[in-house]
Amino acid sequence: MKTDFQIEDNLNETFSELSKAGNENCFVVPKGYFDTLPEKIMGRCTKKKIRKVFVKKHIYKFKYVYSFAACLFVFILLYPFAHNYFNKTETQQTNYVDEYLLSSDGVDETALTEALSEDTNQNGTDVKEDYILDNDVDNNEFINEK
Amino acid sequence: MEHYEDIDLLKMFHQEETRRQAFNLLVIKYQKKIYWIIRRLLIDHEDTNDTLQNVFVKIWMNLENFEGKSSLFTWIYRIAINESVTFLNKKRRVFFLPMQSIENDLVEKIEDDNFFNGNEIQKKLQKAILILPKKQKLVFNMKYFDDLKYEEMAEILNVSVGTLKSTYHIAVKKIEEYLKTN
Repeated sequence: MKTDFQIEDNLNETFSELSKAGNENCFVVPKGYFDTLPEKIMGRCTKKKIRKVFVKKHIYKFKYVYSFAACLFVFILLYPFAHNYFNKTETQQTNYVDEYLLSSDGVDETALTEALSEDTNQNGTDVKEDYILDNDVDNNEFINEK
Repeated sequence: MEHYEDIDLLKMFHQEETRRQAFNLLVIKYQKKIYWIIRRLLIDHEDTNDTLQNVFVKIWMNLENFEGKSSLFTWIYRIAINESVTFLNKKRRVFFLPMQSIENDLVEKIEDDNFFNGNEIQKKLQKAILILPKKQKLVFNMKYFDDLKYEEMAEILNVSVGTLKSTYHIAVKKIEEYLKTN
């Protein structure tokens, strides 16, 4: 344990506990760590430089290709939204027409409903039944049919 | 190993044909000193190893632009401190851990004999340093372990000598208190 470590003179007497500790490095370092460290660091430094130079050259050579690819990518991204927008516009127009017809003053919704259901006769009987009766169809033929 | 002055290493580094050799010599010259600066802050060897390598990579990339306004060691020391503090802040952010939690983990490591081979009072000292606020920890380590002059510390940390003296004094008092009560 070193005894000649540096503490301010007036502190040395006051802080007796600290003076017992010393200033040695007590953490464990793996064996041979410092022998191989310079090589590892050099490897990292030179690898970084090569990669930096490679990336710069690479980008410069293909800059037009990258620009085109970027435009294409943006187009592909935006296309679905543009497509939906135009389609929606047609559908919205149809909806607007329907709403107009229904809500305009000259059109009575109740009348419309009645008009649409006028496949019935005035008495309200089924159209098919009328056909059978009008055309003298033999009911037994239907009953006996297998 | 032949000892090279910083000025000679810088001259060699500025020449293309001797750059790698100069850097290699610089690493050999400073690796242990920088290692211990970082290790005392980060405690863990693996964290220290990563940070130390980052420091030297930064030196490799920026030494060309070193203007010599401070000494080379001061410049390197500053990089080491910045990288260590950045690492500690990043560790806290990545794991969403409060500083207390990281400190508890480091205290446990100090107790591990495979990790720390000092006596009981030295273990207590390291635990006491761990709980100091960041600036006091830095100042205490630089003065107590690295034996730096206040003027050198002022240059590295960009703080006045007076502030450093009072910071060191406060740190020493806290450590003494911890050693007495634990």
